[in-house]
Amino acid sequence: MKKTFLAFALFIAVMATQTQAFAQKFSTREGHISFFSKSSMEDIEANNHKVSSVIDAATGKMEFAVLMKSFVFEKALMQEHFNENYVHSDKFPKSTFKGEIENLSSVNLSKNGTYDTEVKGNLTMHGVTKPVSAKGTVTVKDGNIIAKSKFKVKLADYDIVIPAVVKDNISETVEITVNNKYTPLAK
Amino acid sequence: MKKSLLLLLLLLLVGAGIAYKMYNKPHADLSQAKADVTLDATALFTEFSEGEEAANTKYLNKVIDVKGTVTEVKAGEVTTVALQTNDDMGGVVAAEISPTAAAKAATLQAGSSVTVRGTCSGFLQDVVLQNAVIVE
Repeated sequence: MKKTFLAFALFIAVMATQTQAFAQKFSTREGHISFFSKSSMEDIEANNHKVSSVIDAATGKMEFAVLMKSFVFEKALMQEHFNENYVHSDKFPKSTFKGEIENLSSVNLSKNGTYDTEVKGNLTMHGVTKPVSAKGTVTVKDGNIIAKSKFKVKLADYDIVIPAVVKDNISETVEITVNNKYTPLAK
Repeated sequence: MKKSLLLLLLLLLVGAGIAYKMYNKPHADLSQAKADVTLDATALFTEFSEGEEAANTKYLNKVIDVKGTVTEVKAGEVTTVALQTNDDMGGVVAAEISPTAAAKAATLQAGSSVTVRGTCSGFLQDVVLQNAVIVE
């Protein structure tokens, strides 16, 4: 009788932790997003280490918020031009992405491992919202999540205009790389 | 004829020199700059959390000296110094430290009082400063 009770109690305890993991939200305030433009004249890269993002393990929903002024370029002049002339960050200081992991059933966010993901959602940048689809990976390690992805964005889709004079210096399509480490969000 | 040609060449060289210098100019060294505003971390955070649009208009791109208590110094690809606010959700003033000031920032102890000078990028869960330096 005692053995059965103990076994049952253990079963409940284990199930409770499983449910806990699935009901868990994960967040970061120091996510890393970079973008890369390759052209015949030069390569341009900028890094943002202040990305705010949340993953809801229960629904697979992923949200990102990015301050455009937190993109750091090697060249100060490029950073100025980016903010003042291309993305107009005084007017549109934030870009956001709201979407979800489409293949959540094949991603076990409570078990250590690396899983391929397909994330779909809407990216709002420079005042324009467009659907985006991106393949990536999610690595679960000891209760933390590392999400990585690479995808391309066409600048013109977001009304970001490249002046003719620098047309050969900046690619029409830039590659975005995401590399975020999430920790469980304390309830 | 020869003189004006030489003058033109000289002007072109000077122009090219200036353009080259501008293209390669480094990020501003804020340790040499004067702050546009000085206030404490809690006050700055409160302004953003209670009225983001107004705070954006007031603080975006401005050089701000923020006084506060260090809650955390994160080192990694970039060094970030977090200053305490009274936010229940743990929001801070997060200053991304300029590479030139990273070594100094890394020596900061949690709980110590400090003044950080950075350029305001805006507000997510924290108030974010860029290119920040530690002010003596």
